Amino acid sequence: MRSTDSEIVGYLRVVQILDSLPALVGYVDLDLRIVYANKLIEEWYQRPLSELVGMQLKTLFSAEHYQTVETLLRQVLDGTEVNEEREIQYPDGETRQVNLNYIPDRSNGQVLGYFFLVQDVTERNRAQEALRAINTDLDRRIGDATGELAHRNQELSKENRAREESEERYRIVSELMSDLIYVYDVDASGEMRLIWHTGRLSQEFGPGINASDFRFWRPITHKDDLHILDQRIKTLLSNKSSIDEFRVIDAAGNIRWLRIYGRPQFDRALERVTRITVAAQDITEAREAQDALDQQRTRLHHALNSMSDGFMLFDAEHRLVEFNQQVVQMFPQSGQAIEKGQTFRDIIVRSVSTGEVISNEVAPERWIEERLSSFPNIDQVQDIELSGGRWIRSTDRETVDGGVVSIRTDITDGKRSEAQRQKNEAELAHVLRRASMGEMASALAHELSQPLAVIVNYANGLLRRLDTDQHSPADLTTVLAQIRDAGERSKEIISHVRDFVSRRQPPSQKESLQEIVQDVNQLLHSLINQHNVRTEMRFPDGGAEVLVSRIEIEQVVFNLLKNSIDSFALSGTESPLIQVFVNPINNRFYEVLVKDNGPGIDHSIVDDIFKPYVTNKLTGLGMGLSISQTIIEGHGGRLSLVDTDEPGCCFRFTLLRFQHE
Amino acid sequence: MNDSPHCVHIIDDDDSVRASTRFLVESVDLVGMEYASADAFLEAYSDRGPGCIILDLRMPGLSGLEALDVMRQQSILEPIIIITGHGDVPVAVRALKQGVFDFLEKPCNDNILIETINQAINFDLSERKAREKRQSIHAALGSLTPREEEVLNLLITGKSNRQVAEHFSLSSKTIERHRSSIMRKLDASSFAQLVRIAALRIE
Repeated sequence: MRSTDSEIVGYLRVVQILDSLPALVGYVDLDLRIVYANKLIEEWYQRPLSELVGMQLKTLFSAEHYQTVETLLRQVLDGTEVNEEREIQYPDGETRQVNLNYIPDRSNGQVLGYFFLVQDVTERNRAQEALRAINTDLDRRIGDATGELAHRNQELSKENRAREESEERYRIVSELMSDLIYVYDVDASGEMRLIWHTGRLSQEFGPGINASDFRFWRPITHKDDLHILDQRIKTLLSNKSSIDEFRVIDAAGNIRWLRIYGRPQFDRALERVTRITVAAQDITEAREAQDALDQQRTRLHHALNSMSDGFMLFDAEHRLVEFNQQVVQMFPQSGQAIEKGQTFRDIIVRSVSTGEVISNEVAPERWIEERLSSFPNIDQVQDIELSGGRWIRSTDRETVDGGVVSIRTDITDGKRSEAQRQKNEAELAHVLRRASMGEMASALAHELSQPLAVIVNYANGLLRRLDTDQHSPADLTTVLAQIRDAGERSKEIISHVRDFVSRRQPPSQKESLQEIVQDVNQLLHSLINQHNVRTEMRFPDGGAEVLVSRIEIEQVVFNLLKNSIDSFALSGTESPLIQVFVNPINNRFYEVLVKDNGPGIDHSIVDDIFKPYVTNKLTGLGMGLSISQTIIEGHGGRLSLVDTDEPGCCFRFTLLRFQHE
Repeated sequence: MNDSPHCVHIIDDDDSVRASTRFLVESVDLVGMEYASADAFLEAYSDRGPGCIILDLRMPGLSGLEALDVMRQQSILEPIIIITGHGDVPVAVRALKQGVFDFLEKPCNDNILIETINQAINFDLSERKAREKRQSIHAALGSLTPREEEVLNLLITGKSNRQVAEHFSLSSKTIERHRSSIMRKLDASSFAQLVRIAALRIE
């Protein structure tokens, strides 16, 4: 095999490089004879290269070493690369760490020998070991530093706490400066010793307080409150703050209320309470005021709870301010949840959603909305049916400050005898109607007297002329025509009377309030003229349609107008005036106001005017207003006397609007 | 009393009632005058000799009771018959207190109405006569001389001629002469009559 110069140069350079490596590098053939070894191997084995080349490994290696690598040699000659670290005994007897790397030399699938590279990794491993040690050391140091930091933090927060505590103490002290502050030391046996005190209380309570006794207040404490003091010392010694209120008797013999703030100081080292700071405050006045208030509240509660009706007071925002137990009992399912501060809506929604209140024909949501939109319902009572078969009547009144008093009355018994009641009421209404019919009939009779007088006068006049032969055919014609006219007029009036009388039990139907008022006005026409009464009427555009029994409402209007006219006659009112105003008040009701400028209602009977047999008049049964109220309430409205500053009186009644649906 | 037609003033706001009342009263030889209101009456009134007034209390304008006051103030002296609806008792009482002649409820029986009207007219006739007489006496009293008046004043206190003569330091004869002159002027036939006439002066 011939080598060129350049190949030789390249070979030499490789040898140079290999010789300079800090590793054992060489080539071994299949017979395990050394083919090449670098400089380090020469140094390692202390033999020249010439001697090494061709030498059997078995010869070169010690028997021990050969044994350890024999399996590796077989492995690499089988064609598997070996790369592992081993501890080997050096010829100088030193044990070193080496990295063995045997690379098989293959040619055409056959292994011809192997290259080996053995590196001493002892130093490297040592460096790594050192680094690990340093790291560990560093970790430890960091750990230490962190611990220190945590420790310092802890210290800091302890300081903070202490500062907070002292601030709290300071706050209490400054709050109570005007009263009394004192401090006890506590020794290991739990003995307490007063070390200082200040403030005016000691002066005020005088010789009763013995400053050397830790039972500072005991001699002057109200006997019923002594147990509070005992409990208090236990609490403080177990390292808990305490606030206590108790009664003492001062030098003048008066009972005073004290509030005492106690704060123990705990010594962690000694693990016990070592000091107790106490601040005492005279709260007699506050306490008395509180007691008075409590008493008043209790009294109010007793009063409210002793009512047979349920009571709820709402503020202007319809929030519940006060209520009594009767409300809770009336609504056994939803009542328990009633609390102050809830809105009317909360309460209604709950009573419906629990199924306690039955909304009947309408959907529950609709029922709730209607209930809320008509709250407070000043004009009408509302009867509510409960699932338990009971009936509750709701009545609302407005308070002066815009709140609402809502009363609940159990009307179950009333409802149960509904049939009987209705029957009685119908009978009563019949009797009352006949009574007021009498009044109306007398007004009609008066109307009728006019044309009758005409007829009688003409007829008699004519008879007299016939007797004395004074008559002429012209007279006859004129007179008979006059008599006929008067007769026609009578017929009209009588047909009106029939209208009034024949409708005995008229059903409610759509009627115009305007027509009703004007009809009654017409009926009273001559009475109104006689007293020179001026009338003023005002109706909403489109008439005011209501669902009523016409004859009954006519009676009410008749009674009210007649009362006004009678009061004018009685008092001789100057320029008497009656005003009738009909106004819509919401989408459900019209109100009718009947005002006059007469003498008004006598104060002595103003509260009783709606009762039967109470009257302002010299003549009269005192039934008119009573009947009228029965009629209006039977229609679902209310009739009331309106309080006005103007002279005269003003009645107001409400009627359900006719609903177009 | 049928000598000349007496006048009935009818005050009523109802046209047909008023006309029929007039028809009725004119059938018994009376004259009816119609007024639609008290105001209209007060404006149109003139004295038509003996008669009476029929007043319906139910009327607009000046109320019936006020009308009574005004009539008296204006020296309308015919007796007044009030006609009213039933049962107005308080008003009736007040009207009677104000001196109305009578008070009838409507509708009233024609006989009673005419009878009442006749009574009222008779009353008015005698009232008018009495008034005339009072007026003539007042005129006669006015014709007495001052001395005659003085003498009369003493005589009606019951003093004799002699006492009166002494009082004025005159002779009894002179007083006697005054006395016959007074009797003649006052048309008194006796001393008793003289006293009665003199009493009218005081009214």
